Amino acid sequence: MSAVATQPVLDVRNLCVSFGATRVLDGVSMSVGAGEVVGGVGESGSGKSMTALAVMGLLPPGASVTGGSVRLRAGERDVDVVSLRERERRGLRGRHVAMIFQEPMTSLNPVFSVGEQITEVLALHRGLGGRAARVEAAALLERVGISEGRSRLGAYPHEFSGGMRQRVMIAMALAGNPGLLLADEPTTALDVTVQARVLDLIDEIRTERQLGVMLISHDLGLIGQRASHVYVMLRGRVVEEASAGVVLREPRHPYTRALLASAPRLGAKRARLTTIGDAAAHDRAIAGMDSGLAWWPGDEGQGVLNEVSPGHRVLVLSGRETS
Amino acid sequence: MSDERGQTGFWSWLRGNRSGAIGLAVLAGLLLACLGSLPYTLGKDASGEPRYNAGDLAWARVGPWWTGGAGAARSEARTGGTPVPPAAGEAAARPWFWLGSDTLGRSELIRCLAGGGVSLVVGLAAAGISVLIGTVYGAVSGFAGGRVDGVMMRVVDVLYGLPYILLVVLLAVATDAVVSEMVSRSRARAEWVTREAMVEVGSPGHVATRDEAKRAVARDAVLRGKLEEAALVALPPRQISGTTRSVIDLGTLLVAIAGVSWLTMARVIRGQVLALKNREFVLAARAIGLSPWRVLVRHIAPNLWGTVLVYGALTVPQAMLQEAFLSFLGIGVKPPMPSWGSLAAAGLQEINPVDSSWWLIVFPCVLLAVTLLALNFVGEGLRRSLDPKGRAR
Repeated sequence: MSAVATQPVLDVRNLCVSFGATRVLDGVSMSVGAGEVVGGVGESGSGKSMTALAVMGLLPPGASVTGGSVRLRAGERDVDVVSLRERERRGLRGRHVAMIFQEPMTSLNPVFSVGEQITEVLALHRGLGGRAARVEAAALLERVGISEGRSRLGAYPHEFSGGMRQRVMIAMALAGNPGLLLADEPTTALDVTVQARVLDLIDEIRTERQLGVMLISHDLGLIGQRASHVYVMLRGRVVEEASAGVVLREPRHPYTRALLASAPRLGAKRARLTTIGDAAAHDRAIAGMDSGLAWWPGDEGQGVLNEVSPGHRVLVLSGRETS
Repeated sequence: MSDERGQTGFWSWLRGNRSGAIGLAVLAGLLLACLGSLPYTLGKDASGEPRYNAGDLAWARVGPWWTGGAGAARSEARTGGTPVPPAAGEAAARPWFWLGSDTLGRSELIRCLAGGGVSLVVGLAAAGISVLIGTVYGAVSGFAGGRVDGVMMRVVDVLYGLPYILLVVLLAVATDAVVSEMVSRSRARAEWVTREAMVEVGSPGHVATRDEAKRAVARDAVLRGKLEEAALVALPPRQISGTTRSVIDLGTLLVAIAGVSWLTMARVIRGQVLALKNREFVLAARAIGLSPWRVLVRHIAPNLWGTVLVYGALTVPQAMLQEAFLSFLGIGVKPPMPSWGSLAAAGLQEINPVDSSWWLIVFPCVLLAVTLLALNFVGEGLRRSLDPKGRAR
């Protein structure tokens, strides 16, 4: 659960990222412990992917970190990714923190066999070459559930289905033996059945290797099932964070409620699906009468995260926080 | 992108692509004939003259084989009957006159073969250089992006705006000046004379200024004669063989053509790299800890192969055409070295209402046209097979 006994693998504090004058991340804090799955949820543009990219040190051109720190456990050391030089950051990628992406169709290089792509990581981070690298790559493929890994090493990405490609991506991510895995919408492009299996795989590997996982998705239901701790993001801010059960059962921020309300439910008879827009307006009115607490990014004044119960924080207007 | 590798892919491509296969066969035949015969055509005959330049005036303007050497008789009439006229039908028996001979009695067949060798080598090499420059330049520009990209592409725009003939002429003139100085050493000698004169004119232990020395040399003819003679001994003119000269000329032409034809390649490759750069696998490659340079070389470059191949194949005919054009204008390959362009230019002068040696222009032009057509077929075939949308599966 949310209580992390050991020191976290990843500890993001007050991270701010800007594109020129536009702030895309505004004081984001989150932490991931070893062997823990932490969920980041929010609509597109909320800054969840941007947070992951900032951790990798792979912000798109034009974006830069303007404040805060990203502490990452690299073996025995504990480093601040933000203050490192690019060369040192490069040494962390793949070795201590790995990332898998949304589109398994395009995130593998079409002109190389999957074996070549996995052995590249092995050569880069573990100094393996030749036969040793091939044996290890085959073992990794088998580990991610691709049978006959040996004979599949020579296959090209286009010969694989989407789910298999995502498995190859996971094998590549594991090849460097990192302590933290950032999964940015890893199953959004996959079928629901495949989705579940890929997430099961990530879960297995997490327990096996005590891997810290940051699972990013727009699907609160999925995050609620898989993550132990959830961060709900909106417009570059964390609006609510709590353990998964709490977020699903007693969401406090109207945006979280809106997200929950907009999820289609099986068997529910409705003419139209609720969209975030009207649900949010509706809920805001209720929330306003209800507590008057919640603060929305973009509103007047300043927002602060207020701890309403242990481990459960909600974004409220500064000065209105209660304990 | 192409996923086919190895021979099976190549052969299946050939089967499914008739025009490409024909083009490739024609090209292979021409290359083999022209390049394979180069040792013979460039080699020296009994008289010590390279065969492409060896002529017998008695055999001037002989028509191709099916005319039975009709032209020879006319040539005999013109030269006053002194050379021994060839017997009728004898021309057909001499294989190197199958395509007739030119005004100096040089075999058109040998000249076309040698000229083809020159044209093909220049075309292929120039295209190769331009593809290399263009690919590297475009890839770096597209990958670097931002300001670097802006500056690099503006340079290309400016070069596009300049008339390339001007560039080529300037380059040719500059090389000519450098080479002729290298051979005659006249400037070096003049400098040597001035420096010697500075000692001669000055008093013992005191050297005269350059201006004084120059004035003294201009005034005193005896001194000038003496010094110039000494200079000739100290810095004699160098000897340069005709072959070296031709190689330098060809090199200049190569650089000139390559220097202007890499621009399109650079633009195309830049566009490709820009598109590839935003593909997710590039981000994934960086996420495993590769340096930007390795991402470019290991992950982006292999994806450019198809494009490079297609545009390379289409650049070769362009380069050959430019070589022919420049040679036709007299800027390119210098006589007596033949190339299809210069042969056509020479042939054009033999077209007149009174006495036309039409074969002198027809053969080089037909050969050039066939080669260009074959190259375009191959390039087009490659383009079609590598374009995923056009490929039937």
